[in-house]
Amino acid sequence: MSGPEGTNISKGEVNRAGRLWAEFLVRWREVGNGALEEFDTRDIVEADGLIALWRSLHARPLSIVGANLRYYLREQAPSITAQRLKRHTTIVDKLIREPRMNLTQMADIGGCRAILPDQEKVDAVTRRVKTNWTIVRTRDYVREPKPSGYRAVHHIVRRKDCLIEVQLRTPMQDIWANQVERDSRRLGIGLKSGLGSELVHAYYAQMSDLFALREAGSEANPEFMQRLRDHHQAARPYLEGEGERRRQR
Amino acid sequence: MSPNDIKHFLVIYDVTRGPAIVEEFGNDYEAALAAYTEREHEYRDRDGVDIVLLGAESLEIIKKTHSSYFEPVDGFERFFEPAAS
Repeated sequence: MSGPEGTNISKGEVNRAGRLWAEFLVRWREVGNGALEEFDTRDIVEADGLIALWRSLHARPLSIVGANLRYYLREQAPSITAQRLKRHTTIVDKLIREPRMNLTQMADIGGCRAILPDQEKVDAVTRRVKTNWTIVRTRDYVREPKPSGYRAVHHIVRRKDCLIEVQLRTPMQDIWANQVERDSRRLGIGLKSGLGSELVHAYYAQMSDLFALREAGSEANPEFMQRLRDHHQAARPYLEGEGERRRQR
Repeated sequence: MSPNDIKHFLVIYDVTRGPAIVEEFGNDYEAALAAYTEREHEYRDRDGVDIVLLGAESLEIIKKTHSSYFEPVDGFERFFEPAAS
């Protein structure tokens, strides 16, 4: 039987491998090496290989989408793009967070990110890719920001059997997302996934609104800025204190 | 503008140590993929170590698109005047 990309594996096998690893990783984090007694090590190793294989099948489609995107971005210069393949642990963590998700449906194993000079150019690229690509879905987090404050336009593209995510951001949207990512890593908290203190998220969301206003050429009124300062003050202990605790561990 | 023009970089970021370590593979995607899996096994589930395989026309571009691995840790405070504490 011929599976994805001419391999002899089936999507069912890939999905079972992802699920097995999700179950294994949960137990591993709970009981450490004891988890090895609850699972067949051969199954774990085999599933590990299947996840790696499934990810590697995204390499070529990802590069093709990336090359197309670079071509479209040339019309909207100065813009830049890079591609990334998702880390094994991050893939499995997503399956843990979303128990009904199949690994073969995960849309961001391969991702491209582009930073464009402004929203108008993002929208121009969006029009271009919608004409030329098979778009499975589009999420416009600029018109409808995530509750976290995340703003960007995401397109999920199908290339052969693989889904590739394309993130289009303006400079300030990108600065915001990278700062949240940096704080997540520094504090060891999945702020990116909505975890951590609500006070921090309220501050981030207000900050994202400020960036959106500024990129649209407006300036925030004094009440807005006062709210931002208040949110900042409230979030500060979490942004600083948690960091201290982590460094001491 | 071919998919093969891309250069591959394995970025290893240890939050306790600061700047990311970058392994460069040029256009050799196969070697980069093999090293990715190898490093993941090496650092599997180690708290505070992030590994990611990135590709772009140059490392300079990676440093801009994935700046969280490369720029110093600072906050949003540079974009407004915080209240005096």
